[in-house]
Amino acid sequence: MKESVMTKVRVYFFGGFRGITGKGEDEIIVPKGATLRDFLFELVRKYGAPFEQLVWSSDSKLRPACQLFLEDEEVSPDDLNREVIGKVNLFFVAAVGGG
Amino acid sequence: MTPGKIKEDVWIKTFCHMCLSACCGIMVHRVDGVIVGLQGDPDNPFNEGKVCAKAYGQIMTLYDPYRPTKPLVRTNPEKGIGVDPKWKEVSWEEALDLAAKKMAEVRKDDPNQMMFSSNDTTMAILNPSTVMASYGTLTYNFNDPLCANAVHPQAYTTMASFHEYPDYEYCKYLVLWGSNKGGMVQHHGVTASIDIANARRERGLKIICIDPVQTNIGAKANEWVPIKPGTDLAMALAWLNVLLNETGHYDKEYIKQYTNGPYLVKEDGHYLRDKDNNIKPLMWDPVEEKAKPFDDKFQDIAIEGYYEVGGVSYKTAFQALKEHVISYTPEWASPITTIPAETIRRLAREFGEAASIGSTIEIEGTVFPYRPALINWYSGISQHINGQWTGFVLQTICLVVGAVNVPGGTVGESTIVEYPYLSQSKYTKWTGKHGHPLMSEEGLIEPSRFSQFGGRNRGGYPARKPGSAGSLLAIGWDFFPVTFGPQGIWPISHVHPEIFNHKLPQIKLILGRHCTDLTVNMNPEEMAEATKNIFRIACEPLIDETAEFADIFFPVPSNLERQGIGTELPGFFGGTIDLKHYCVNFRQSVVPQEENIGREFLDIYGELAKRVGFLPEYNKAINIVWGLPEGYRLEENKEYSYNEIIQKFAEGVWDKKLDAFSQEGHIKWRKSVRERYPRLFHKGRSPIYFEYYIDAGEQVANFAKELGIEWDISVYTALPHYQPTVTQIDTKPGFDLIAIPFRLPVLSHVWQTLNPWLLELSEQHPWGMNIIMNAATATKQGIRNGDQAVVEAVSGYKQEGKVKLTECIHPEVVALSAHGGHWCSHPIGKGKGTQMLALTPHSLKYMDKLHSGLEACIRVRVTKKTRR
Repeated sequence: MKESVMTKVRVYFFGGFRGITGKGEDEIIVPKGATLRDFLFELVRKYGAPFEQLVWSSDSKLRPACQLFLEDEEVSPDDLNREVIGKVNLFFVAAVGGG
Repeated sequence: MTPGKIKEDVWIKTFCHMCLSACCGIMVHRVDGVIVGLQGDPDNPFNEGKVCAKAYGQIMTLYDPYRPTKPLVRTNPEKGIGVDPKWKEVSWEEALDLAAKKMAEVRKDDPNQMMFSSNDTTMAILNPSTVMASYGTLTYNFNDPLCANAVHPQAYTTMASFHEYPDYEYCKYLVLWGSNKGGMVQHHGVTASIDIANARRERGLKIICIDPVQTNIGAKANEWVPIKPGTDLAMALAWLNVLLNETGHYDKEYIKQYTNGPYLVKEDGHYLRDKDNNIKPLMWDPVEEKAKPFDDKFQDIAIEGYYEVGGVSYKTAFQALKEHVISYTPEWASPITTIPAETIRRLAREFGEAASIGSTIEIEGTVFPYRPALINWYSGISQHINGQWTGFVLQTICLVVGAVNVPGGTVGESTIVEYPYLSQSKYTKWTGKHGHPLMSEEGLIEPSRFSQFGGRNRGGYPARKPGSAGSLLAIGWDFFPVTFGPQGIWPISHVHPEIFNHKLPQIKLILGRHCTDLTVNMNPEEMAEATKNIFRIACEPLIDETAEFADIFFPVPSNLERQGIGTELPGFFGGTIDLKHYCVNFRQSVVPQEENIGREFLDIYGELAKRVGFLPEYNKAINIVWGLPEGYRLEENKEYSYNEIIQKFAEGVWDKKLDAFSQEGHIKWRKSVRERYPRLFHKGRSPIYFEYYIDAGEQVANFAKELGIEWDISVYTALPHYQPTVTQIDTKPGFDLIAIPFRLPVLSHVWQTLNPWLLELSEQHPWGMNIIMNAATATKQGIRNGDQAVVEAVSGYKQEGKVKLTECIHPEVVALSAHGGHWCSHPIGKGKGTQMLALTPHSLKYMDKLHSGLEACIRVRVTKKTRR
C-alpha cells in the first residue's frame, strides 16, 4: 500500500468559531492536495455538529457570515476547490447592521 | 480676553455626529484651548456650510459638568429604575482589571455569553466585527429594533443598495410616505432640506405628504394626507391597483427590461424554468411565440397575458400582479385608511401622470428614461408589523412606472460604486467594475460586495438558507431569511427567552458602546427587570439610563473629542447622501488631546484584550476586519493605540496621510453618471413578484418546527396581501386612539434631551415634550389645551403629560415624543416630557415576521387628570 503524503495546516478561529472550538487555533493534518472544502469537512469531523452549523447552510454552501482567509487572502465561497496550504483564518461574524 | 494675549486661535475640521449618520462637515473654533464657535464646512458636499441646531448643541455635551471624568464602579448590587448605583470613582488601572477579570471569566465559560451592544453608526461594522471576531462571540445587538429596518431589504432587493434617496434634481412629484425627509434632519444631513428647497424654487417640485401627523416637511407640502397609522399597505395596494387596472400608468419597456414581470409563473406560484437545469425562469417571445430562458435572445418580451407551454397555460408575473391587486380598490381601502376613495384614486393618477412614462432625458451623453415622480418612505412605514411588505409595495409602484435608478426617480446610493481611491486594500476588489451589482442565476439583481460592506447576502435575496436546527444561529439570521440584519431578536429574547425556546445563549455580560437598550427598546421596566442580573461594562460619554445599569463605567470621548473616519465605506450610513458626490468625512478631537476626558473605545478594548490574553487575536481581527493591506498590518503581539490604527487605516485603505485628512476634513469625488443613475448600466432585474418568498416561508416553517417554536409564516407569499397592523388587532373597548411616536428635528437620539440647549429648544417647540391630540377629538372628551392627561395603553402601561391640541394630526391619533421621559440621574432631562416607547410591550405580536423590526404604535385611551 502506498502511503499518502500528508500536510499540516494551521487554522485560526475567530468570532463564533472560537466559542464552538473553545480555542483560538489548531493544527489539522490533511492529505497533500486537499481542497479547502476537504479541509472544512475535516474540521466538521473534529468539532462536530455545532461547528457544521457555522460553516454550511442547508444547501451545502458556505454560510454568508462565514469568511475564510487562506494566507490572509479572502477566499470566495465559490472557490473552495483551491488547495489548502499553510495558514487558514476562519471567521464567523454574525449579522452586523442597522440603519 | 484681549487679542494681544491670545496664544492660540484655530479652526479645526471635523464632522457632526448628532444624527444617525456622520454627514455634516463642521469647523470648530478654538481659542486658547476653549471652544468658542462652530460652523458648517462650506467645502463639504453634504451640508454646503450649513448645520442645524444639533451641531451647536455638541458644545454643551463637550462641556457637560455631569460627565464622569474617571472610571466608575457600582457599589450598590441592586439594579432598578430609580435605584442609585452608588458609584465609586476608581483608577483606570483598577477599572480595567475588574473588567478584564469579568471578560476572562465569561470567555472561558462560553464567549457567546458576552454580548457586544452598540449602535455607534460611525463604526457600525468595524467595532462589532472586531469585538466579535477577537473575543469569539456571536452575540451582537445593534440596539435599534425601531430603526427603519424594512428600508434596507427592499433597497437591497430591488436596487442593490443599502439606502436610496430621491433625485431632487429632476423629480417633479415627490411623495413622502411615512418619511420626513427634508424636515427631520436625521442621517440625510441638511442636504435633503437644501435640495428640496432648491427643487421647489427652481422647478416647482410638488410634495405630497402621507402621514398621520403633519410633519415638519408635511407642513410645507402641497398636500397633507392624514392616513390612519399602520394602514399604509391598504392604500399602497389600492394605489397600485389604480395604476395597473384603471389608469394604465405603467412603463411597459421598463417592466420588460428591468423587472421580473415577464417571467412565466405556474399555478403553484413558482416560476416556469428551463427544462435542462430548472434554474432559469422563462419569458414569452410573442414574435416567435415561444418561451425561452430569460437570458436568451428575444425579438420581443410579453409582460401581460397567458401563454401555453407544453399544453399548459401560464401567466406572466406582471399579469399575476395585476390580477392580484384588482380587488384592492380605493373603495375597499378607504374605510381602512380613512382616506376618501376619490383622494386615493386622484393621487395615484397624478403620480402616474407625473411619471411621464415614455419621456427621455440626455445627461452627459447618455439618454435615460425620465421619470420625475417617486415615493420615498421611511420609519413611518418601517415601524409597523407589516412594514416590509408595505415598503415593497411602495417600491413596486415606483418600479412599474419605471422610476427606479433613473433621472427623476428614487436612486440607490450604493447600487454602483466606482470609487477610485482604494488602490491597495481588500476593498479594491469591491470597487470599479466590482462595484457594480451582480445578477443571480434567476436573472435578478444582487448587490455588489462593496454595497454589502464586505458582507455577503446581507440584503435578503436570495433567501438565506438555514443551518440545521439546534444552532444558536437559528434565532438570528435563520428566522429572517429575506431581510437585512434582524434587530428585534435581542430585545424580545431578553424579556421573553421562552419565545425562542431558550435557544439563544444566556447573556451574562454586556459590553456596551453607545448602548441604548433601556431607552430605545420598548417598555424600559420590562427591559430593566430582564437584564438587571447581567453584568454590564459601559463605555459612554454620559451616564444615561442604560449606563446607569452598568457595573463598570468607562468614560469615552464625546462627539467633538472623537477621532476616526466618518463612514467606514462610501454608501454606508449617509456616506453618499448627496446627489453628485461621494464623500468620506474625517473627525478629530477639537480639544487638545491632554484635555480629552475619555479614552477611545478601541483603546479600552485593546487594553482589555491584552489583559484577558487575546491581544494577538485582536490585532489579527483588526487586520482582517479593517482590511489593512500589506505594509500597514498590525503585528500580532504588539500593542497599538487607536490613533495608530486610524493612521494605518487612513493611509493603507484611503491612501491619505492622517495630517492631510485632518486638514481637509474629508475625501470627496464626483459621481459618474453610472453611479448617479445606475439602471442602464447593469443587467439584473428587480423583483415585483417575490417567488423566492414561497420557499423561504417553507424553510422557516420547517426550521421552527424542528426547534419546537411556533412561528407565523403567512407573510411569505409571492405577492402582497393586506395585513392589518397590531393596533387593528390588539385592542380593547374604550381604547379608541392610536398612540404614535414623533421626533423633533433638533433631536435625533434620546440622549440629546440631556443636552440643555437642545432640551430648551424642544421645550419651546409647541409639540416638543407634550402629548399631541386632535383638537376635535379632545374636545369631545372634555380635554383642553394645556390639560394634564394620562395616556393608558392596552398593555397597561401609562404616560402622563400636558396636552397640546392641534388640527395637524389624525383624529384617531395621539402622538407622544420618542425622546423624553428620562429617568436617569442626569439632571437636565430627568422627568421632562413623555416616552412613547414606554407604552409598548416586548412581544412577538409587535414584531414584523419578515424583518424583525418592532411596532412603534399601540392602542390607547386618554383621560384628563387635572385642569391647568
